[in-house]
Amino acid sequence: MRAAISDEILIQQALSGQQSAYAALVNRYERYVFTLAHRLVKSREDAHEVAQDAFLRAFRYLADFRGDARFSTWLYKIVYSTALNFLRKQNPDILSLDDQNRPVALADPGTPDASYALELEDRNAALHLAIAQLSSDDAAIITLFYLYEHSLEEICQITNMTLTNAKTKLCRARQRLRNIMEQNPQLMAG
Amino acid sequence: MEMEHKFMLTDDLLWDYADGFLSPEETRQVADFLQKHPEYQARLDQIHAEKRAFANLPLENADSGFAQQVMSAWAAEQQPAVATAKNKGNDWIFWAASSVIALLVFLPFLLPSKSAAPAKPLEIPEKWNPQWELPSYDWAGLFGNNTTYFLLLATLALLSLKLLDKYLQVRHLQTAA
Repeated sequence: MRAAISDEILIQQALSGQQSAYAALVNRYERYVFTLAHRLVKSREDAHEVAQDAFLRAFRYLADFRGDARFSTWLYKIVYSTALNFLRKQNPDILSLDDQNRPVALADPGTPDASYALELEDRNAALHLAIAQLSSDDAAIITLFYLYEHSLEEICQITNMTLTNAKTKLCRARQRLRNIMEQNPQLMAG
Repeated sequence: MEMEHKFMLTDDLLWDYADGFLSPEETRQVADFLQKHPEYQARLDQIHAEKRAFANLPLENADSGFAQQVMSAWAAEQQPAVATAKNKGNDWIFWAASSVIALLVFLPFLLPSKSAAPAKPLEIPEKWNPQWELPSYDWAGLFGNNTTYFLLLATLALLSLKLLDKYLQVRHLQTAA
């Protein structure tokens, strides 16, 4: 069984001009980047744009990646800042994703995603819906910590939060997620 | 006993315990409390189950062809750089032409003038005295010639265009980055 090529080797190959190495990095991280982008910008269409832009930015600055952190941490930091820039373009009043006064974007039950999830009555789909109702930063921090299994320190690198702030946010995010699940019996039933 | 009265196990504390956010002292306190009150263990198990549910959430799929779109965009972005590199091979034509024109323009400064005061001839033995004359240049004729002005103007125009081209290339690459 062939062992997967490490990120570091792929990066070296990409920097030496091998296009296949870039493609391998995209294939490896496509779903992670897209999921995080979707959590942040809340729309699949926008998430595609943000995810593509994030990959291109990562490739442009690939030579700057020094390997101090995991490649995924570095990549998600780019996704996070790309999403933030995207949201700022749409609404210049947004200073950061840490804007507690910003209304929480609720998932539209009429969208195909929502109806599909409810039809499935699947716990995963229900969790997806619940996370979609969180604010961007809450959804991102839950995703990074529990799904991508990044440490709080890595989340701080990605989001530029302090350790205390990141921990507080994570606690608040999971509390909100629980509230959403409790307030929506159809989600709890999943 | 008094310590246990002060200690209150909250849901957040249990989550922090499950997430490993507590200090060693707090962790020990929670562990001791759970040992003495096994009824709370069920809630801890539930929290672990929720954590597993989060961790097992399937990743979302981008639309099919996303990776190809990214690679196409990346290839398109790299094309100007590749084109620049390819064009570098043709640069020698420009520089050769520029050199010839520049040589033509600056030749008068390199050659002695006919109108210059005659220098005292060097006393060179007859056998070493060359039998040919050094070429001289007609300065007045040169600068009175429209062709010279045209060539000078063309050189300046070419160099300006080349500088503008380089500037635009650098700007494009910076914008792309």
